Amino acid sequence: MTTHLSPQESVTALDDVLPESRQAHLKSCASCQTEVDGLRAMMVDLGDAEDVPEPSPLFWDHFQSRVQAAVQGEMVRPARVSWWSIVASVRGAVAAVAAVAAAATVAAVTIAVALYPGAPVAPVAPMEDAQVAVADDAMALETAEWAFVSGMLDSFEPNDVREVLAPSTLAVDNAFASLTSGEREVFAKLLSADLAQGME
Amino acid sequence: MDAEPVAQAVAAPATALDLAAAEDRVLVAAFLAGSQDAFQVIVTRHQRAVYQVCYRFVRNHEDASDLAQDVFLRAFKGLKNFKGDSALSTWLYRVGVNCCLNRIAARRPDTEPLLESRHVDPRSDDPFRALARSEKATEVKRAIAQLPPRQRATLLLRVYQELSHEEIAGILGGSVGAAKANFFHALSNLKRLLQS
Repeated sequence: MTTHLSPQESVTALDDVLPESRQAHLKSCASCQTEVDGLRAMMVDLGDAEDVPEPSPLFWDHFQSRVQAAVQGEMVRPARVSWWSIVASVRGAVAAVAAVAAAATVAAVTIAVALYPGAPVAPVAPMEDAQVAVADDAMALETAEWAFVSGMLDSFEPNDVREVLAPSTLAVDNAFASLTSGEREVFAKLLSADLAQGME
Repeated sequence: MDAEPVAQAVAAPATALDLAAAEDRVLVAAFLAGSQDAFQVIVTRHQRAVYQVCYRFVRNHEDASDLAQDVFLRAFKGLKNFKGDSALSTWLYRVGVNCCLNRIAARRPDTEPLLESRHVDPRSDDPFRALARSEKATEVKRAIAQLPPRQRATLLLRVYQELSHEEIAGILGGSVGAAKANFFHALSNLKRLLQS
């Protein structure tokens, strides 16, 4: 005895394209015949129910005008700003701010070191613990300048700190491009002084 | 879609007369090359079929015309993604079915008019038989409206749009076997609903 027709085979039988091997079963199996006959009767009922009223002859012209208007409206509508472009621009802004903050931090540290050569220097901490280590060590500092620097670092998120410690080239370029000519002059002087000190 | 005919269509802009007689793939290429007239011809050519698909889902003229308009607006925005590996009509059906399934999902229960029925001509040979057929047709349409959305879509596309199981699988996603199984279950459920 062969197996009964599967749902797919019953539909294939309905379409009159059942393979011969399965047709033999269908002819000999009352259960499968009843199933397929039932489907066939349902198809007749569905055919009788076919009824989409034809709209008014004027409808199609009106419809085309509506589509045309909708399309025109779509063409003049400004492009929608996608969320990922917002995220990208925010990330860019954060990177730029972080790079500027990095430059400011370097400048502040350079000034503080120049003014207070005897001040203790915080040990270098691993990058993932940088925020905590910098904050903890800064608490031990006594001068207002070091407190200012530590306070600024304390407000950074871990990602900001990573960007400060290892800013991307693009972020540094963007930050430098956003400086005014006066700020660039000051920055160049500070950088030159810092480099000269490092050479000594 | 073959690259060569598309390139030819783009290289030689068609006149309005040419467009009216052009094949769908040429119209798509012309539209993508910037011809708004080509899109207008696409709308004119397919509006009735798209409207009918929408009507079969929602069973009222207002919603069907809104949905059909939405289909063409989506087509306008999405034709650049049409790969040409199926007929344009099949692609439009896919857009239409998605619009309709979204509408059905957003609006439950279904808003089928309660008194929808065929007009019965009392002068017909057998008005009683005509009335009985009309009532049966109304029952069938109500039963179709109760089917799960994918079974309903499969049934409407197969029975009324006369699409192949392969085309239906392409529109709804999934295998041909799954499309056939969906159709089988749609018919079985319909039978059960009409007997209850």
